[in-house]
Amino acid sequence: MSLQQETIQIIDDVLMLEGQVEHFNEDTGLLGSIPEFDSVAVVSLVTALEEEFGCAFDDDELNADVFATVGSLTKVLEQKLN
Amino acid sequence: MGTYSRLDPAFIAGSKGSLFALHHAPEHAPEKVSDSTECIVAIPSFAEEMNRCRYMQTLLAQALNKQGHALVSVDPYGTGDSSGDFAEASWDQWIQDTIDATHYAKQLGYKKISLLAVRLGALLAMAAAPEIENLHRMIFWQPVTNGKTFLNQFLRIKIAASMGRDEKAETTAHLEELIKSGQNIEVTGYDVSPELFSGIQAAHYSNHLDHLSCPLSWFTVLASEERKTPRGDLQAMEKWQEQGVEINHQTVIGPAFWQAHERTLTPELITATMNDITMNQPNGSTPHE
Repeated sequence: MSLQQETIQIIDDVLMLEGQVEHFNEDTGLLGSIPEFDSVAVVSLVTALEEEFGCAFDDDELNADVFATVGSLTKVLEQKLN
Repeated sequence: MGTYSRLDPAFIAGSKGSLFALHHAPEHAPEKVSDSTECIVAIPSFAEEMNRCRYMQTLLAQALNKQGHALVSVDPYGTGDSSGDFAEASWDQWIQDTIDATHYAKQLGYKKISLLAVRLGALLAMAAAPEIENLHRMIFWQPVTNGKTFLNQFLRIKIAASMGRDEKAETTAHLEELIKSGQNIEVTGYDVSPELFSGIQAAHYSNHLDHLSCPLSWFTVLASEERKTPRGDLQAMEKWQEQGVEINHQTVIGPAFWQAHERTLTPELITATMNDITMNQPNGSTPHE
């Protein structure tokens, strides 16, 4: 599974989107686009990503640019894992 | 409510003010309460999670009542319908409220008292357990084992809430500085005092490793088959087992009901918990494999 697919899978799990993510791609908007994507969801998602990939997010990475799209979030993860 | 339940609300005397208690009584209580009737005292989670978990708690209460058992929940000081404001709450106060809740269950005539701790409630349960006589068992639902990590996630909600808005971004470090200087901080409408903050921050399972003498049933809810029990949780279980604590760990696949802002239920968790309770009753039904 690619990192992007894994990220999408975790978004599905955390936001309980129940398979709506099937047609998600790099350009799919998150913050401001998905109603379930509120502040609690962001923190739950970050926690799940940290647990899954064993990485850590800094406070200043909790910003609108990082969580704009599936692609922007995957890119930040990619940098962390390399 | 089903036909097996009766709801008895009451205000009980807490050490700082009256506390709201809800007794889900089985049919014909107290006349038919026997030594084998189990009363589960529910220890809630924190802030908004407490509200989000109420439905699940009620479902478990109904299932317990059906089997002739009871559930008692007491809103800790400064929460729910109890007296006090959230800003006045402290960790030590909540530990005392937990102990008082079990006293109330005994006062109702129950002899077999257990704790159901949800999320942060698990750290309260660990701290209160040594003070509770003859505690029968503890049940953890998605327990929080490290108060500091939990608080960090809680503070992050405030940071995440400011995302995309035209305000200066907060940092957890700055929020902690505010708390250290004696100020309250407000996160998602909850006014947290320095006292409560430092109490949660210091709460950690490792402080309670040698104080646990009853069996522990630990339930982890995973969103899908791909997810795993957090490594920290497995470590905690291992350490307790090394101390001789009997731990029954079960994973359940279902939604994270404590996080969802829509009403979300994980009925699989109720079934698993009920199986665990009835399986371990001396006079209860035996499990079917």
